[in-house]
Amino acid sequence: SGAEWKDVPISCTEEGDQKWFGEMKFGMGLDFPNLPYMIDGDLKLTQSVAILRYLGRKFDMMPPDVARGDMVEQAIMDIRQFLGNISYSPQFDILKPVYLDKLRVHIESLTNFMGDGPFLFGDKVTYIDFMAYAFLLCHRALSPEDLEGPIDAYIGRVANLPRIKEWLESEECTDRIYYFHYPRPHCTWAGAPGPGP
Amino acid sequence: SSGINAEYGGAMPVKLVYWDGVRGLAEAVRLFLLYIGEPFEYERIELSKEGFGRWIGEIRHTPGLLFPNLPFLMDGDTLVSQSVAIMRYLGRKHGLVPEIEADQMKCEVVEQEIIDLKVRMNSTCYDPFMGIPGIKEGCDAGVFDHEFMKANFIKRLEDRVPMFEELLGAGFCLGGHTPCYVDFLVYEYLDHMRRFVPGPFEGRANIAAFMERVEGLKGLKDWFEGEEYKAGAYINGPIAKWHGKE
Repeated sequence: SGAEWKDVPISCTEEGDQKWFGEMKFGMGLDFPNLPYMIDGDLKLTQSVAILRYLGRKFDMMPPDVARGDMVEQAIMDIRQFLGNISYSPQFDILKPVYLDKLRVHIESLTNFMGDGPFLFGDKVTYIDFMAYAFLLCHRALSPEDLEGPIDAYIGRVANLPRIKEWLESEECTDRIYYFHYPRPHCTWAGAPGPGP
Repeated sequence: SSGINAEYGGAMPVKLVYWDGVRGLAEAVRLFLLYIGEPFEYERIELSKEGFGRWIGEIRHTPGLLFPNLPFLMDGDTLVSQSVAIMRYLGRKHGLVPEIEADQMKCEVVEQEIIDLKVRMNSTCYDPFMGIPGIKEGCDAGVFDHEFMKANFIKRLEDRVPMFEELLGAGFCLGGHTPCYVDFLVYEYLDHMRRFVPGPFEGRANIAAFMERVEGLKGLKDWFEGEEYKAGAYINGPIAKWHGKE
């Protein structure tokens, strides 16, 4: 979108926990304190889907077909939530095949829905493309062979959007360790650490 | 509401499709349809081998159902799956959506918060190992500790329920005298949760008043006083560790 933004990371450490649960959570004037949150001037928002939809409306990146957009948004969230749940389970390995079955159906639905693309809703990039991209990276980290073919090309197209490409190549992005889940003892699969997302 | 948005749907009543006897993710849609007064057909799929067979073999392949799942709504040529997408669709169709940006944001935060809690309740109530070939119930590898999950869920409710209590002091989720689509999601899922774990809801006068307010709405009063509601239903599917049917 070309908006100016600043990112305030809270580190995944005891110190980070204390900072969030201690001063920040109830001290920031959020109605439903949670992470991530976004501040835009006087506006404070939580819940990643609400934040993305707000930005989508603000920067004209909403899907042209609203009902279909909502459906794709929710379908993307569905499987991501499922992965999140099993990743925190000590029996992650037993549950992984159930996730993979769902993932394969999901990738097929998404690919069929998109057709030639280039993006989920054709030529117009929408906020849903960024959700899809971020979550597909997560799915790919777990099961690269399921993310080959047209869906891989799609991931590449989002990554190559000019300002996205710039961000991905930036020092700020590559100089940090990113996990997919909170990498603490109670998390069985946090996603392989490495430079950049 | 300003009446049905003419772009939507077809001549036939809308059709809602879901599992028989279960409130689950579809009941909020039923309640909303009753409130709106939109005529609808509620197609139930039997919770049996035959029913599962019909879902997998036939219903799942309904033309135009792009992301097959239950519940789904059929409105003329429009097929919508994903309960949140259905609620937003019906909201737009009947003008029961926030009108100003500030309300839209608030509505979406509340929507996501209640869904977050419902998703957690589902993980707490459904054994994820059920049906995985080779895993015998109760064996070490596939132990689902429902009580442990429930204790964590209670802690989560103790954190979040006060926020809903605060929100609902204003009447409906967005204040004002009329509900929008999110009020029906909040009503339904708070009801699931207070039945499952009453503790965190004790003494929450605003939530109790909100629940009564929704039950007394025109279009819903008859439903809540009727035989079908009083007979009770499964909140979660019968296979769940807690399914809520007395």
